Amino acid sequence: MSPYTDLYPKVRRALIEAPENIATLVRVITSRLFNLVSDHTFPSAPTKYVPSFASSLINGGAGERNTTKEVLNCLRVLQRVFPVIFELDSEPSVFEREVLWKRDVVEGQDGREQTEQTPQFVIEDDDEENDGDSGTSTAGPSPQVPAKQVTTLPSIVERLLSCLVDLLFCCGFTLPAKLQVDHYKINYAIW
Amino acid sequence: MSGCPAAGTSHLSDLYREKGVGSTADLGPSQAYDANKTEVLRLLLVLLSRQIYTPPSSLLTSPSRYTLHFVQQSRRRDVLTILCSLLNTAMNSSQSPNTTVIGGVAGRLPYNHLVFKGEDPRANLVSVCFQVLCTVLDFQSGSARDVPTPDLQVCSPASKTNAFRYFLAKVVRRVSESVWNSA
Repeated sequence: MSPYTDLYPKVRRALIEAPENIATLVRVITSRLFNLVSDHTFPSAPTKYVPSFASSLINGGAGERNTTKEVLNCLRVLQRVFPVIFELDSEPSVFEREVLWKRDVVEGQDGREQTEQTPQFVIEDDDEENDGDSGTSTAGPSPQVPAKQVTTLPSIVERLLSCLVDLLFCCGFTLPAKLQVDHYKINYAIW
Repeated sequence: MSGCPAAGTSHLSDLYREKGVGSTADLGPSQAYDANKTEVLRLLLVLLSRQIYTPPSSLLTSPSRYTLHFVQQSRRRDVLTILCSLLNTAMNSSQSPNTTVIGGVAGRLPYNHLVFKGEDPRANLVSVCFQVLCTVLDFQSGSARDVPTPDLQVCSPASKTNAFRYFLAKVVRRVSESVWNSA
């Protein structure tokens, strides 16, 4: 019996009674996933594949942090939560718009996530677009004009899709570890 | 998350895992990697399945934002890599050897799929590859609809409408050309 079997009715009920809890769940799990994927401890040392009918007989190395397993658990929880969110409405629901697709706008430099973002999501507040100076200002938040800098972060779904693509080509997770070049664990090699 | 530096073209063949488009060498599958790929693809498939909650009447007019984003906003390099990987894995399914002892036996004995349910990581991966391919390639809703070509009276995909359909057409053309040339 899967440990997730009774998850659906619980999520379904929570989505109606307290949708903010599901929003928190999605936010926490996705941010955990994004952090794990960029963490240097992921993927953890490959363990031999153990079919689940045999895994109950073997006690895995307890106490040791297994980041690969944590990533897999994040994926599995999200696999079960999204369908429940989708079945709520045939049209994109408020929940989807406000939680999954909402692009947060960060002003100034206090955005923790700014360093992780790619420059294409940086939008200048003033009218100058694609001019010479935009190259310098998109390189990082400039300390002189923090109030003018507005950064639009990609939505959860956008980040998740790009994260999943990376995970499909992650050395030591979905590709042989020997394909890794230096510290670049994401290698877009056809499998 | 970072990409890798561009690999030299002379070593390109080393990068392909599956036999198939652009690849001839089979470097041997790995069970754990297959199982991990299946988990990632399964979540991708869940995200691409938003469309099934849309009523049939508005299926073509209200596209799933998730699939639309995936087929239109993905980077060109990602599209090609994902498409070729899925195609290779799906097309090699018939000749892939079962590497687990139990999986191998289970695949050959009747009713053993009921006992060792879903325990062949390779079969699971192939299955989810086909499903993702179908969802992505069949997606023609909203702005992902094939555009009619001005000269010919047919509709064809463009990289702006559905990049996966567009590149599949290109790959097929390339492969059939090479087959004709070698024949």
